[in-house]
Amino acid sequence: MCRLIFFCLLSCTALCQTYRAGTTNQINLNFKVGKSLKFNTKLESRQILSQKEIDKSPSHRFQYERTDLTLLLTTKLSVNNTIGGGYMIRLEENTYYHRIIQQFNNVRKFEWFSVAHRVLADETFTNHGLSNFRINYRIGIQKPLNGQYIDPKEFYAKVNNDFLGTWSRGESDFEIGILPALGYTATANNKIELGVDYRVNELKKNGIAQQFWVTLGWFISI
Amino acid sequence: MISLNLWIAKFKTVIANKHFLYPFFFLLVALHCTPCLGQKKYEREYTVKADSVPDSAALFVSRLFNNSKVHWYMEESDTTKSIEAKLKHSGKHYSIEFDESGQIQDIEILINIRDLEKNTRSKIKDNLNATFKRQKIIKTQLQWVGSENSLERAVLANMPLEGIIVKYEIVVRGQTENVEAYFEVLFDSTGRIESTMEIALANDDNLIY
Repeated sequence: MCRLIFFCLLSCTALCQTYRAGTTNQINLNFKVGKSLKFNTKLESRQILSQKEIDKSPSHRFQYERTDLTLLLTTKLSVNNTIGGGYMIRLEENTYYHRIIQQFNNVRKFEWFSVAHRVLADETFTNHGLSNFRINYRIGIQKPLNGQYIDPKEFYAKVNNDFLGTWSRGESDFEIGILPALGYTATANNKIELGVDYRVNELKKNGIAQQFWVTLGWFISI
Repeated sequence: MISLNLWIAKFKTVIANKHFLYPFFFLLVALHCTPCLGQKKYEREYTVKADSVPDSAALFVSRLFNNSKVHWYMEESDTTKSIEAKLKHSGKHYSIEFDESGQIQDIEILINIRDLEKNTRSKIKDNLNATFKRQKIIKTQLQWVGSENSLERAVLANMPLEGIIVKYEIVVRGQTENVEAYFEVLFDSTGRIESTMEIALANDDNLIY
């Protein structure tokens, strides 16, 4: 299955001027802190399997790109709304990046599906100071594939649409992503998602940059 | 970019020099090794095919709603099983509930709260205001309970006839003393509350993070 997806992705990227393709894996663990707080830890790593830079030949070899560790504390403002903040540390090419995160979520369950909105702002720092500032809006739709509710041992479909603005030392960029995924609820507190993350950015330049990631996520709640 | 082996070697070197990271990695490993302790009551709802529901249930639905597309669901809890048919007929959304043997339990029809008679509506709202600090009506269903014959006649007449007990099942987003949640509130025909049940929301962590 993964090979088939990659074959399609690589075929699509053959004509691109700039692209990166690979895999993203994450373990996402959540547990309650007291009555109203929730603590989220996320460990995510990304590997590049194929890439092409402008005016260069494509390279098809495995390269480890980065690892992120995110720690978020959230609280419910109301039954549908959540607010939170946290910290992420990233190790990439022997450099540490530190990110401060603020986020707001709205999740609503309708008769047949759920809709989630997320507005997130973050500031990234390196040892040399502020590296960039980003604002991200994500809308997600999730639908059970059997019945009206996602019960244990059932599959579901999820599609996220991501819009990301980045400002960095006088430069700005805009990125759009679409992330379809197939999920499986193993137990009420364990979900696994396999999907694709397709992104385009550098829209203002002559050739847009594209990213294709096969994503694997494991969500655990305690 | 660097190769995997080189990256691992460099990672070890960097970690060795960055002692402040130890608590993070310890926390991460500890948390990710913690077993899942929460055991919830097993309840499940899933789609079933029309040919696997009891004949009596299938016949009742096909007799009254012959041109409608019917979605069948099985609902299981630790102790009971029930079958539900959901369909749209003459512009109305119906939910028809049967027990496991196909015996009809009730018929629910989706309505707007404004469709209720004024006195009943104001009594329902008064009772909701007395129960919750703040509340918003999300969904209103008319519930008819009665024998199979009575329910059949009521559906054909498009109104409750003799032998039908009318109730109102209302989903509200309400705030009690401690918490805001969704509740299913059942009212009798006069607008008096019969039962209030908090609706357990599904885990949506994968939509938030």
